[in-house]
Amino acid sequence: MGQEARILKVLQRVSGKNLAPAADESLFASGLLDSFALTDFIAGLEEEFGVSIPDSDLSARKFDTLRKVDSYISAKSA
Amino acid sequence: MALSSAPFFAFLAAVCLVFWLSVRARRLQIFLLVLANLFFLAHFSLIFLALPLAALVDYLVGRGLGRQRNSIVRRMLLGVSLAVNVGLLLSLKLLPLLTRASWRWLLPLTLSFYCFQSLTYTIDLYLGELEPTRSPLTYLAGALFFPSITAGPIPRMGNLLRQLSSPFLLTNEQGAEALLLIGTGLVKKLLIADFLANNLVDRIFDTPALYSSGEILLGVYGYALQLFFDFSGYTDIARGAAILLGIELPENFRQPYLSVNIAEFWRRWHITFSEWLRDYLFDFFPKRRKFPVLSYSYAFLLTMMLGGLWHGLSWNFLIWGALHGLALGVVFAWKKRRTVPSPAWWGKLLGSLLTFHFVCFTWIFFRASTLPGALQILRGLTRHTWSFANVTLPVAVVFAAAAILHSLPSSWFERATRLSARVPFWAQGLAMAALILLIQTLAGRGSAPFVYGNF
Repeated sequence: MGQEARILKVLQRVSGKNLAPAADESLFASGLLDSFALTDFIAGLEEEFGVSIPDSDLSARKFDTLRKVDSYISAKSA
Repeated sequence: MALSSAPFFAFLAAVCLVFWLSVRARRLQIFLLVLANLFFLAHFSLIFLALPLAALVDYLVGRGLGRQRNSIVRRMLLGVSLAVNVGLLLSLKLLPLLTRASWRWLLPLTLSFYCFQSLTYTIDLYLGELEPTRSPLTYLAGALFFPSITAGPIPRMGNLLRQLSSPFLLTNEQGAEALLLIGTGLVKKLLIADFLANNLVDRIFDTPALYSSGEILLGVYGYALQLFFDFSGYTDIARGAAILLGIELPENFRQPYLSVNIAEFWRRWHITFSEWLRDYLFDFFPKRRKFPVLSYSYAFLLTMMLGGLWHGLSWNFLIWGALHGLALGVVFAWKKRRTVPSPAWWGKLLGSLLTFHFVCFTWIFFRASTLPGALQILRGLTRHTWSFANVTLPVAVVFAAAAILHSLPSSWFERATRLSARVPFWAQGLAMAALILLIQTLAGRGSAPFVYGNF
């Protein structure tokens, strides 16, 4: 399973919605994510990819689209 | 020049005509937009002709941020933009308080929406999420964009500049959507919001002692509807006017009073403002995942209190913001402690009723001009007198129509757009002109100022 598909799996688990947004679609505007669910989403990403995400990165703009999350995880995993 | 007034529509029609006649010369179109922006601002007060100078500071800051890699210089450049925009915002808010005089005759616009929008440009550039525009004219066309400068919605400058850098388009369907938005906006503003304000809300909030508890409760519900129809009516007209100029402004409302909790309410009410608060204020408060409830609650509280104070430097707005901040903290703590499954229909209904009544409770502080005024309304509600003798039939009819209109699914609007797109554009334009005249005649006394024009 590719990285983007794994991110989507975490997202669907956290949001409880079986939606598949486009790579550049805002996860916040589409209602898949909000400030409330962001901490759970980040915890899910840490577990799925074995990365550590600092509290200073708890920002909606860093995780607003699948593409941004994908780039973020790639940078963290490098 | 209110967006619901006949002079505005004459101005818009003239701008559209010249704008689309220049469709083969995009630079000329940008120049025309800048001229239209300046004319619109000058119509309020000639002093606003100085606003392009502030905008050019942000443009130059943007150019600097595009070139500079030195973090200290970048911070200094961002500091300049923050000083200009926050300084402008605070000066216009503080001037009447410090001088104890009204400056509306000289400064009829608060420019809050301009400042918020400009900050999206320099902050996004600072964070490396945007490329600066090279063209000062394109920047001025976007930063001073006349349909949204008085009361939003608050587009991100990056999005606006992308649209301004692409060829302008106006399809038959977009034209139909624009005219429907303008028509809907006028109905919302002139036939519902102003009617409810004049015949119910203002009377009750001005002299609550003359009314029963039931009438005061109806007045509070009426204010919730008035504010929604006033502000969403303005937004519809602004979005419609923008589409006629080939620009798409973001949506600002999605049936907010049907929200099942307060977090959802803020995703449906004044959407561009709450997203602005989230991305440019809330995100910058440090948060700890080790203590999520505590750290998120204080960030919600501070963000909403500052959001409240933006509406006006008064105890009422501070209380309004604090109540919403606390409620967001409570919802966050609730969701953190429980795995909440999607509620059944009765759970959603209960959630919507609770959320609507909480929002109405906070609107009392928002609407009353003073804290004693708000307390007087709350005391009136607890008198337990349930006569409705002062509520006339027309008020009851408009009230019910407003409640139904608020709950109509957005798919109805989309279907109406598709249907009217089949009609030739010239016929749509004629129908719209007739509708504007009809609504203005029915509304009779002319339009009251938009509530959010004061903020």
